[in-house]
Amino acid sequence: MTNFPKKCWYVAATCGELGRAPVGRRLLGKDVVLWRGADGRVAAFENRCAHRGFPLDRGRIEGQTLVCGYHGCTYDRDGCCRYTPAQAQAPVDMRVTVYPVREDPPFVWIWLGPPAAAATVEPPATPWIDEPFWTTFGNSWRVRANYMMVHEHLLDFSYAPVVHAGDVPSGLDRMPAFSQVEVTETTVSYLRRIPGMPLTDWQRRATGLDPNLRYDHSESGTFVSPAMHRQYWAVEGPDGRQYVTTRTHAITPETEESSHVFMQSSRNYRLDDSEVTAVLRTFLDRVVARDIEVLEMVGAHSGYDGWRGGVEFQSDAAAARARRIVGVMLAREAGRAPIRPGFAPTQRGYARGARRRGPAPSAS
Amino acid sequence: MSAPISTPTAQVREFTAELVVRSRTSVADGVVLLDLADPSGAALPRWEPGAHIDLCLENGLTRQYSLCGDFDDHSIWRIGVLLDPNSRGGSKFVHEQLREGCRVRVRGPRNHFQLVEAPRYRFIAGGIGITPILAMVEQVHRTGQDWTLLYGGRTRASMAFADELATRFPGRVTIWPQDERGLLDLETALKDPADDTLVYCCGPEGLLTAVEQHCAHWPAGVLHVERFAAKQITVDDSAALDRFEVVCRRSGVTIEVAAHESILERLEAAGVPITGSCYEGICGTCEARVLEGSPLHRDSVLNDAERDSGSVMMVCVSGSRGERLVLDL
Repeated sequence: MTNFPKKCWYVAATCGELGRAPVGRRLLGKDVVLWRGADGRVAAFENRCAHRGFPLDRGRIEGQTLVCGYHGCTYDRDGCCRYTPAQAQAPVDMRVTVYPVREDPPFVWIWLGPPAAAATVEPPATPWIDEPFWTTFGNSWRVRANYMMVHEHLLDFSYAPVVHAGDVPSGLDRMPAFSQVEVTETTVSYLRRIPGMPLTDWQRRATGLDPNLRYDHSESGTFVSPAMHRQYWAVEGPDGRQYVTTRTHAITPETEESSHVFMQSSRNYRLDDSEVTAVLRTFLDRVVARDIEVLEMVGAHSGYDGWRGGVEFQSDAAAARARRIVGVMLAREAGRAPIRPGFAPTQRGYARGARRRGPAPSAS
Repeated sequence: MSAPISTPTAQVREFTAELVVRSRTSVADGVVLLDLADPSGAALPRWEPGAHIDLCLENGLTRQYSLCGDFDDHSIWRIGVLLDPNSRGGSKFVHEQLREGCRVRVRGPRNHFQLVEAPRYRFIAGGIGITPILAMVEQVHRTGQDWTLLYGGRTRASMAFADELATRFPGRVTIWPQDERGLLDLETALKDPADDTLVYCCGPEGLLTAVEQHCAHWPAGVLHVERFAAKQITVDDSAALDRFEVVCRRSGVTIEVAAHESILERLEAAGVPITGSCYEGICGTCEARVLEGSPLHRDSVLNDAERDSGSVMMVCVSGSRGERLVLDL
């Protein structure tokens, strides 16, 4: 029993990854091959030739087809085998499983649920990545932790003064509580105001603001879907202008114990300055390395069951809500149950040991 | 890391916005469709079939309406509102005051009528109860599952969307105006329990009660209903204590609640982050997870299995059977 909803678009790759060669990748526990035909269109197959199970990512792209590297079985983008060198006609109905994909730069989205349901949901839009008043760079990594640990880690930033001590404003020894948490049926957003603090080193170098002044900071974010989280760091300049650095995290389960993260960092200041990009890259690489280290330590030591079985803080309010949204999606996909989605623990191991039943109803 | 955090606690709230009535159409006797949009054209939150929103009206009333438009269209929320002759001011206000171009405060969406995965669905709608079913029909039509709809109403002219449903899905949709055909034939519709079928019903209380009775011999968990108003709940308050303790584990806050008090109001007074809307046990906004203890349910949101599980409660109206409740707040 996995904890990722299947009826959801996930990011399979960034557009630039798909060039002349097919790319093999494990996504939601499935072995997938992604490839771009000569016409520029992307397709995704089960990474397994229908003949002898050869991994298709070890084959090659020829025009609008993917050719297996073993016997040369040649598949069109619909997954039909059109040609095999061994005989004049390819066997009737010889095909590989095809997964729906959508290319919406910078991401290639994949649908690994029931194919018919793909048409009922749109992948989340990410207009800021292309809009001219933002500038963006990307990075991707893999972390050996359940994808919800990645989400919940990003949704609760209260560890920042501990884990990222050098990268929060000096003097901030604890993160303030959420100023606001806003929920909808499918999303949760939060805002933390951090008033009157000095700039961090990376903020000083990236924004070019006067390092001797104090500024109103904020940290906010949104759980967009099980596949996406967006985080904003903002500093209000002396003229009231918001200097925003945002990270869009596409989070895709690889297996139950590991996740892909495709990150795009956008900023709305000093757009053409490549030195600023270099500063932010160095800063974020540092943050990501520590995040991965923490998540992999918990993942290896306690797993997601141990993680979610713990005592929750107020600062986990957003993460708890995200868990509930995912719980509802999973319960919907699981089908009939006496208890409707959203009205009971829907994930195994929830608060282990905490659900001792209280005193039995008594007449006293 | 010493002194306790002194900043105010988080205010968890539902998405709330002032929307504008983009268009208003009369679609049946006493039924208007309102298309609500953000005045600046901003996208509205995504929703799933079965979801509803609150309209927070100027006269101080809050009313729930199911979303019945295209769930792919994030620029519009569509609701259908029936003018209730006994209106306490909700539907009357909407019909008389909410013209095109008017602003209205909206909260949500939330969903207590989730469309759960199944090979087959039997939808039953009574009157304006067609609104949430409409989005469900659209969804299962697109995903290709098997379904039927039995749609009843007083008269054909009072039944919104009846003609287009019958034209678009002949063979799946049965239109059943009471003045032409009498009461809905639930006996036949629900005679044979099927393991692979879920029953979804929305309509007036009389219909829901009848469907609940006819589904009594169906497997547990098959029937999903959505009510317009509070179900008449008989609560054995003899188990109620004069006073009990509510522990909010996440917040580290413990409050005392007297028998006649609302847990929700006491939580709000103590600054514990929680959302509330109807204060009558209908909307389900104040749902809280119960970690320890035994709730005394007085809401009309939860079904019997959910009550018996003791794992969740509506803190606006419900209480405690024991001296201590531990909530995930």
